[in-house]
Amino acid sequence: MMNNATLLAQYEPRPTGKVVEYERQLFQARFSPCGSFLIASGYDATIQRWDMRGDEIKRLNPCLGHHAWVQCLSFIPGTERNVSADSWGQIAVWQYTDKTPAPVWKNESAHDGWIRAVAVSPDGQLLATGGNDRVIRIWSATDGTLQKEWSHPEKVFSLCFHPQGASLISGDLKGVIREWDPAAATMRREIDARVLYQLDKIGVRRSATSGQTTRKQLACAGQKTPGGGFSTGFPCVLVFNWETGQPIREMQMGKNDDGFAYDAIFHPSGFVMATSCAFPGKGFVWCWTPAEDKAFYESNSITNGRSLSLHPDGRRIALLVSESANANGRQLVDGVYQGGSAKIHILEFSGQDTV
Amino acid sequence: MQTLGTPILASAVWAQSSGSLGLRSFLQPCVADELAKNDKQVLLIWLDGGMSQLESWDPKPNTEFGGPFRAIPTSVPGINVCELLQHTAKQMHHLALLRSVCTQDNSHSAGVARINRGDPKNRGVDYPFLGSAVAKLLGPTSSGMPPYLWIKPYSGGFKASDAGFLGAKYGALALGDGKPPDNLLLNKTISPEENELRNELRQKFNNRYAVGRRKEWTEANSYVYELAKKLMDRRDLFNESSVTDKDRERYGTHELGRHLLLARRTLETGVRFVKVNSYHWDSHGDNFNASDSLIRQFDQPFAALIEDLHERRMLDNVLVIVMSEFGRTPKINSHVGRDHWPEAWSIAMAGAGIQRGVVVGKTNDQGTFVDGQPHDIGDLFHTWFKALGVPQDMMEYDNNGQPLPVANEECSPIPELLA
Amino acid sequence: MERQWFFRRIIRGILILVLATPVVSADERPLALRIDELIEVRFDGQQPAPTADDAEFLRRICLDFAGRIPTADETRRFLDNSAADKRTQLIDQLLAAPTYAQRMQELFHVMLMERRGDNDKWTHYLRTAFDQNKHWDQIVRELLYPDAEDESRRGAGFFYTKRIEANGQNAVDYPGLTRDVGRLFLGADLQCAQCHNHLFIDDYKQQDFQGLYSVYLNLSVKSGLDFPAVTEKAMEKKLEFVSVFDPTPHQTGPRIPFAKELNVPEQVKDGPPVSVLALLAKDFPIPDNILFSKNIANRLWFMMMGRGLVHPLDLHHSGNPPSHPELLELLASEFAAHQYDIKWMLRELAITRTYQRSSRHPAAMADDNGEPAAVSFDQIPPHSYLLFNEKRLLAEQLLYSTLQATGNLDRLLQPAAEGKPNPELVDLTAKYIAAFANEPREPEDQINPAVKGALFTLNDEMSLHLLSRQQGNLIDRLMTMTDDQLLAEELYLSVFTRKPTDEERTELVAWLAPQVDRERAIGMWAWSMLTSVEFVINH
Repeated sequence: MMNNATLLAQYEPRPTGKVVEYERQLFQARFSPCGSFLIASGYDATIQRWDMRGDEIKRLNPCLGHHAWVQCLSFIPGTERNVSADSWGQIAVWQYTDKTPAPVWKNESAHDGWIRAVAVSPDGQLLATGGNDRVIRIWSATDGTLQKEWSHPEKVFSLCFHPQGASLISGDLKGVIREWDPAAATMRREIDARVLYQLDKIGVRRSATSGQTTRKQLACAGQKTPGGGFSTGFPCVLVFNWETGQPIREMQMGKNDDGFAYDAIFHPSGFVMATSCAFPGKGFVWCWTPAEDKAFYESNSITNGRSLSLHPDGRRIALLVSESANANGRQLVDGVYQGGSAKIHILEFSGQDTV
Repeated sequence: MQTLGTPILASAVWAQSSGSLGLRSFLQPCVADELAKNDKQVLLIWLDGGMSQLESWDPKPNTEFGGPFRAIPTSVPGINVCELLQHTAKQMHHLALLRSVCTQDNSHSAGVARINRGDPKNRGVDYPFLGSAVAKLLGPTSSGMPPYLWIKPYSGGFKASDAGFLGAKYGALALGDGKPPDNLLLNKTISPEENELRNELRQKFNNRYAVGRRKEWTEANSYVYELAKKLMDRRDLFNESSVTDKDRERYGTHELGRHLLLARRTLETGVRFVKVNSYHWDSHGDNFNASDSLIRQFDQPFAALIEDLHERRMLDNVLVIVMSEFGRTPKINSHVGRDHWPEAWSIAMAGAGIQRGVVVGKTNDQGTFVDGQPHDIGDLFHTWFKALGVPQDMMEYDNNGQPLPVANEECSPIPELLA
Repeated sequence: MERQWFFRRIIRGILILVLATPVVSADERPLALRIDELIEVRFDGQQPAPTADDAEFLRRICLDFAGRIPTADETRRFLDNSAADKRTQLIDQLLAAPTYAQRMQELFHVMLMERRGDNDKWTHYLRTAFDQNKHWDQIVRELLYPDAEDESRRGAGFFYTKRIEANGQNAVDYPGLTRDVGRLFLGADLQCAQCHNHLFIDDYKQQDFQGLYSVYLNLSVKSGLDFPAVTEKAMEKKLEFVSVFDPTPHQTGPRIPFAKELNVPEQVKDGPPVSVLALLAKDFPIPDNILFSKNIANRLWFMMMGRGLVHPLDLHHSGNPPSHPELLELLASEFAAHQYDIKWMLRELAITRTYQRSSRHPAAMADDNGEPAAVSFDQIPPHSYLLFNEKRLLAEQLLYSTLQATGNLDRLLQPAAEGKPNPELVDLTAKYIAAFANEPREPEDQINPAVKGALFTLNDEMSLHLLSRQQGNLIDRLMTMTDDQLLAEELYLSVFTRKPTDEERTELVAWLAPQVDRERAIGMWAWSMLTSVEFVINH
């Protein structure tokens, strides 16, 4: 394992100067598996697409047909399709390479209300969905037929399949991670990430666990230890040993009212890259290998990060940020009330190695 | 156990001096007699920090600022509310929503007090909060129970600060975590007659002390012993075993559920004004998960409460108000939160003197600003005082010679809200 | 470094002398006289209340300086004393008595900790400080820098540790500590300046909060010691902050609010650690820090006179001016000139006419024919000092006074085995605090009538037990008396610290005459006196 100095020399994320701007806020921005497209899902019920092949990034026609918030976006391996899910209970599969994509299939009432997580099995055959209705459903990725469903003890906030495909991992509101056998719909074990759930007297605290695994480790992102008046805490990523379920490293950033770590991804070389918001001001991007007790890179020069996506070339990263400053009361620009917007910064690692 | 009995009761000194204290004097300057036959009460549910109007009373589904939730129909055709109010939606025919609230302050530090006081014009005095104002204007009900009870999380005690210039005795008796005060049971060595006598003696000493001195201390001392007596008389209120399992289930066992159930029970004993506080609504971060939890915690017991007040025929006399210091911004910030928004928000109400099953006022399609006539908190204070039957000539306080309008004189009642 | 500091002190000393000299030479009369003049010049022709009579004064000064009322015998002796200067003599006796340090320890404990909790080492620290008449600047220096190595400061760390101790999953309340240091030592509540410049108080800026906050962010509780202590992390960089209204980033190093940033020297490798607390403590409690002087002058004034010259006590700013600005200036500068000697200051305040005025105003009484009073209380507001402002008693004052009045104090002050305090006293203290003190974190600076207090006196077993006959206590003494006239006198001297009026005497005698159970009857009368307003406040 490389030490921090070596890692920094190789993997310092640097802006390329390429920035994709979008007039509304977005939840996720992901490179397609082929690397040619950048696809993002938004607060405005749309899925936006950009062609990344030329020198100039070209905006393509969006995927339309969702309602409210499209928080979930994943690609289906071995296809040119992606799946999306919205907060009104609909899932849809799209051919993202089409000029004007229409759903390959969709299910308007896949769940009752807000779908919080979608995962795709490594072989591209199955989709798993879950959300506020406390149900996990397994679908055929090809035609959307329901394969399996079971109830989940709490609201499902995150889902991922283990790379070897035999396990589905869920993370919930209360900071409990569960390993499921998706074929049998049975739970194998629980992993404790409750530190990401702050139970106070009113019984409301949030965690945004989003699972990403290598074969040996599991990371989940959220926040811990909220500060006083604001319902936000320290951005934090927990990394677990997958075999033992024991925590290896707590990667905490910023102050106790900065808010959530919204995304965390494993780089193939073993470090975790994560991003968070901050209050007030700018959120963090940090790179941290679980073997070290400090991040080898941290920066709050951009703004509040929402998602991270590693390009298949292993060198580029799409960092989605939210541009929507805190502001109490009326603030008009030219007489118009302003909502938030999004930017996707294309970063590049400093070293020359590729994966 | 020997009681003192006759010799004390027969004491000549006593015959002349007892009485003339407490409740009666408390009632003197108010309109209690007129109202006695139609005794109005108030329940104020204060959601501290600010509830999002978009996730509750004024949803704008599938719009830029609408958030993730759906809108659902209610028991009144044509009126929709956010899906987080699934139980309350079924009680909509009892409720009135004002969706055109536009107030002046976007900070907690000043906003809480301004809203609670009805944002009167600045006359160099601290105005009373609504509960203290009603305690002053209407006094205790004929039940004699304390006029202003405050059910809240955390600590209890007597909270004088709500009373402002009216003076400490119009403050709130706070039941911390809904629990009764200690020492509610009359000490077993004291007979009720003795208890009466020793308090009359105490009051006699107070009256003597008060000659030529400021009145605050004597009034405060007399008042807290009056309240203590009433609470001792009604200690059954705090007997948890008298709560049915069905009620427990309907209201929920969470904090706000328990406190709203206690609120119903205190209203049943005749408390004039009950305030119930819920905290942690200031969702600058993660507003939608917070709302999903908190608004549902409000929804279930609130719907049960409205149903109960209706079934018990209390809704004609009890004015129920749900409010905060402001609403929350349409704009969703980078923490997926909403900030403070006094520009266009909603207040819900029901009961005494209030129109049923209506929505008054509206916001524009984006939910950003009021479309049409905006209404300030002063208008609502006028509306509520009118709904409670406070006569026009009572709409002024006499602060030791300084006349002070009870509600902001530039505002007026909202006729569409009044039954 | 050391020398530089010393040099700066000398310069500052000279400056003060230069500035202060004209004031001193212009008016060398005793402070008490000048206080009375500044108060009375604003009477505007209105008649003040007369001087308190001996009994009224005796009760008041004993409560203020000894934390309890006097015994019946002490009262008799004082009333019978014909010396012209007996009040001043009494003041000096009380300031020299051991009860002074205990009273001050309780008073300052409540002021500084606001009922967050207690600690033996802290109690010992405060008690010793007032026993030795440690001056206020020194106390504050020790509170701000409770150097664990310095034995004379042991216990002082509680001011910090109690505020930054772990509280479940809540974050350490550094903003709360910052706010309290501003409130308690400068009289400025900077809370709303944490996230932005204060919206309504122009004087309070975000940097004033953040600068002090940056000091405390590095503080944590030092464990493994048998006394409360803190440890400081080295400050690595300046604190960055932005306003919630304006995203421009700012930064600040450690700063005393309303003053310049502290000059923190670079940490020398292997050198002694730089303590920012020590730097803060050095530059904070000094005459140049004018709010420091004004705050404590105002708080001592409040403690004696029942109303702050600036009120509320923690809102010193230009929008909330003092009722008597020139008096506050005078008190602050004189207090500084006397090196913040609390005992000196309290003595000066106690000998004023202002302090010794009656709390009863004859012109505010309705006359016997029912004609309304000539003066209404609206015309003589608390900040006029036309009459003495009645004051709330601390739970501790009420407890000790109740024990004194009921003749149980001596018994309960006897230590139990191994010198431990009497367990009954420990229990009663806890009960009195629960019944009469404010909630934690609320200052006890105004009337707050409490139903819980009423319920306690009505029904609590231990409290009622004080009025059952036990050897040598009040009820026991009264039960041995056969002359009801004398009984009445003993009872009123014991409880109200005054003789009964003829009316009261007659009334009590008539009440007792037909009683079968005299013990219960006397106990009931005493209970009613003890719960009446004349007993439960300082008037």
